[in-house]
Amino acid sequence: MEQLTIALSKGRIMKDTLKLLQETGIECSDIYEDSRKLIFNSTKSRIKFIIAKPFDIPTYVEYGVADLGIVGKDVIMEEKKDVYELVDLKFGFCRLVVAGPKERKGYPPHPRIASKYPRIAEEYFMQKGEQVEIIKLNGSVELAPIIGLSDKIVDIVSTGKTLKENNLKELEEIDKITARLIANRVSFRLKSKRINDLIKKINSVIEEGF
Amino acid sequence: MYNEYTQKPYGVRDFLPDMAKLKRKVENKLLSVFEEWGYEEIITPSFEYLETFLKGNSFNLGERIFKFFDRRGRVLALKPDMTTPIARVISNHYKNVKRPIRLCYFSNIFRFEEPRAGRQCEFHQAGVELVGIDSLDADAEIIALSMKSLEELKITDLTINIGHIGFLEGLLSDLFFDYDIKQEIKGLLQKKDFVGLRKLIENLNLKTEDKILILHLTELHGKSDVIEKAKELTKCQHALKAVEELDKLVDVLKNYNVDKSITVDLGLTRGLDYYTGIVFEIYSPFLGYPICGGGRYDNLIAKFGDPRPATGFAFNIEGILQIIERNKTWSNQ
Repeated sequence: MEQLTIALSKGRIMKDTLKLLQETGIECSDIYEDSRKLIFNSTKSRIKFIIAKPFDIPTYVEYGVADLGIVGKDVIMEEKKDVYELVDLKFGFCRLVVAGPKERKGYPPHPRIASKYPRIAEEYFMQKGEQVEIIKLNGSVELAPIIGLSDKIVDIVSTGKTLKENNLKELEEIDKITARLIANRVSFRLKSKRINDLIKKINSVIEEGF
Repeated sequence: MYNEYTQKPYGVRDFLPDMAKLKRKVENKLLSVFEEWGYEEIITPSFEYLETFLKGNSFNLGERIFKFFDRRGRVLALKPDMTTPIARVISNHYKNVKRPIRLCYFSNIFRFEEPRAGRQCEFHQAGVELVGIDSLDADAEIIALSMKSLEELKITDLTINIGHIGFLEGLLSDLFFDYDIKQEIKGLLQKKDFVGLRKLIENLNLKTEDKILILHLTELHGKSDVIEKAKELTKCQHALKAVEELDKLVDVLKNYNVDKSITVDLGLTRGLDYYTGIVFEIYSPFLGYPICGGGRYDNLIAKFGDPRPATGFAFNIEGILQIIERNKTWSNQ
């Protein structure tokens, strides 16, 4: 059986990712997020795991250093890499939204939008025919309207708690997000048997609800 | 001391002596194989009218082409592909030649690319075009030649993935009249965005069996038994004709001894829109993107006024160099 390399996203979706893999029968109990180790070998299942930041997962998969990756749809939309999107894993649910200060009524003709997702934000406002100025931030995006850096933000929300705590409210929903299984285009062909078997197992685990 | 004008611009690279030597060696080897098979080298200009290139590619290559003006204000473009200029050459210079024409080329190609795997704004291709034969023998010759060439470069463990544009075209034409929906489904299949495809299909007004058929397309790849599976799935005449052609092609390829590396993929499409029949890609386990791609384009040359069937392929030279570098198999000969 040939070796398979899977890149996993640190952070938000890690716990559910590991749970899914375990339910699928893949030995991965020695992977834990806080570890400094970045590569784990599951000798029994002949799988190598790479643990990486979510935004790097599509890159690993596009270059083929990982055959498969598990990552949020938000990252796939933002990174626009040449990868195959195989399965909606149905966990890691959240929404991509536009938000602004709670009390605020009007906005200037060229509002400034802060976001970790500059491409998604740009495309979204372009399709709506709105002229905006995008400001790329790497974190704590909710801060931007409070300190006067931007008028609105584009970010993911799951419970809405962070928005509320920072006196922001949701204005528009851009898309619903879940975790996805992605594949390298060459691995998808060269290791098609292993990958198809894995997809089948994952699909049956998802259908049962894990 | 350093500023941006002491560096190269984004998307291009230098070939230092080691790499330049290897590139020259690879290209010489390829040329000798191409010539052995009866293909003659041709060279076309680095730039032509933008409109010439746009005739070939109906999809969004347009914004990825490097453009500039001539003195009379006409738009010129650096070549973003080699097949379209060759189609022009055929109708300019081979008007009265009715025998099959075999041409090969070595060229740099220019496309604006975001930073991504194996893509530069300037890259190199080596390829062949076989014009004037519409039978499967020509498709087989092209595929066999691509494999023999790589064999000569001592690149092994290759997989040839073969598909047929007619299969999907036939199915979709039977099911839909709407051009946009057809394009959208093709786009999703090409990206292998199964999630997006499923979502789109669920919302369309289709019979359940047709929905199942389209979703099955994503699984129609593997060894040649896929051909039998496909035959059972559809009654569409065009699609069945495509499958039969694939079946025959695999048979012909047995004579060239390359049939063991073949996989069949009925969802395979290629980035450029001019393909009409058999298409293929070649993969190596040492490269995350195809090392070779090609196929039949029977309608392209007609756009320059002279209808002729044609087929061809292009190697990605940078990809070949990378595989050789990684394996050190050939470089120290």
